[in-house]
Amino acid sequence: VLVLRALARDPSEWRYGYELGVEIGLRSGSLYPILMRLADRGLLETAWENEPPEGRPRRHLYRLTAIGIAFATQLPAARRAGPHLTRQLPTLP
Amino acid sequence: VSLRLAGVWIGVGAGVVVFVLVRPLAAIVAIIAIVAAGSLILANRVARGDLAFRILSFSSRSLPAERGDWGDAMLAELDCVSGRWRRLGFASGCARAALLPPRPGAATQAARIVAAATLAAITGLFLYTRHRLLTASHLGPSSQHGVLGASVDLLGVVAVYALTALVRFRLPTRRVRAGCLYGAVGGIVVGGVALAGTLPGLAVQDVNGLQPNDWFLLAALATTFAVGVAAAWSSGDAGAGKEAGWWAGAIGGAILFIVLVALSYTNMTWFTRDPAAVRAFQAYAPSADQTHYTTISALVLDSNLDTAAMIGILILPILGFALGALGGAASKIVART
Repeated sequence: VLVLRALARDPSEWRYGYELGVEIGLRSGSLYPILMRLADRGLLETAWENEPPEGRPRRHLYRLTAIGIAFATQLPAARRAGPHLTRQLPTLP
Repeated sequence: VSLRLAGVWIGVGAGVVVFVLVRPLAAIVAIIAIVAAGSLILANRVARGDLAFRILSFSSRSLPAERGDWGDAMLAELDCVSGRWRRLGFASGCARAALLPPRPGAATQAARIVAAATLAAITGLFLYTRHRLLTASHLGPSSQHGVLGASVDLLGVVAVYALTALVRFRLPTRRVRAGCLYGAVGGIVVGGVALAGTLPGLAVQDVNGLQPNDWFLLAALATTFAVGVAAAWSSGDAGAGKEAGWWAGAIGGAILFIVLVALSYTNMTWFTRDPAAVRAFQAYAPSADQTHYTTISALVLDSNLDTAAMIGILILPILGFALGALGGAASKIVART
């Protein structure tokens, strides 16, 4: 939920994984499995940096997909609804 | 520096020679583990970075092919993390995420539980049997059959399995699935055939212990080849052959080890401490280093444990891997023609 909310703050902006983790206080061991799950469910879009500074590898970027944005906006209501939240999550094919 | 390096190499060489002379089984597994670790290190080119980079580079290799991007993403992020401890914290967290991927499927979870239970059974039987042998030896725990030696053997075996699991990094899912499926079925056949050729010896009271019938052993190895052909044929990926061959050998070997050692305990009817009988059996002992046992059953148990470890843990998995790879290659050649 924290990750979704942080990404939904400015949905058009691409975010870096490390900065995102620092912002919401999540360690990499928790953050990356969440990002993987969100991407698997089609809620998260990933891309590689186009032009990284010289001498630095290209970093992975993340932002919510349209489904992810829609899901994030419904999040508070879904949380109150309890168990329905998990049923509304898109599942893997 | 070169003198120090030469000293290290001489020391390592002398250690290996002593090791080979004293504990051949441990030496074999240690050499395999060292070769596997060396190839893994070379493959990762881990020497280029700091400890955090090495940890992450090593662990990210264990991700399956379709998650390879995530490993590269974590490594790229690490490049932007400053501070030794912060980098270590970030890398170890990522390593955990890479080695324990989120929410594996039910089949994967079941396979993990079965694998963990099998390893626990092998470890438990190995340690319990070594304990039994220690108590039946008048040389005591300080002998080469002591706790330290047994621990070295066990650590070597565990290291080989752990490294083998890690070496299987970034494999295409289709190959892994075909390898696991055919390997699991083949492993039951391999284990069954190997046992069928070994267990009739239970009825014979021989101080040499149980020795597998050569033809049955060949049939078990031929099964790993056949499994390699089938896995490669069905998946269209020659690499699936060695996957299937490895699993068939490892599963079949585990079955052989567990059943053989466990059933050895049922063959204790001729257990005796009668000094004259023990001396008579010691005269027939297959090698001098086994004659320190004060009971005949310990002599046989030791022999059976060696047979089970050598065939079940070393020969079947390693040759299974090689024969499975051959089967995969053969399948590819036939498919081309």
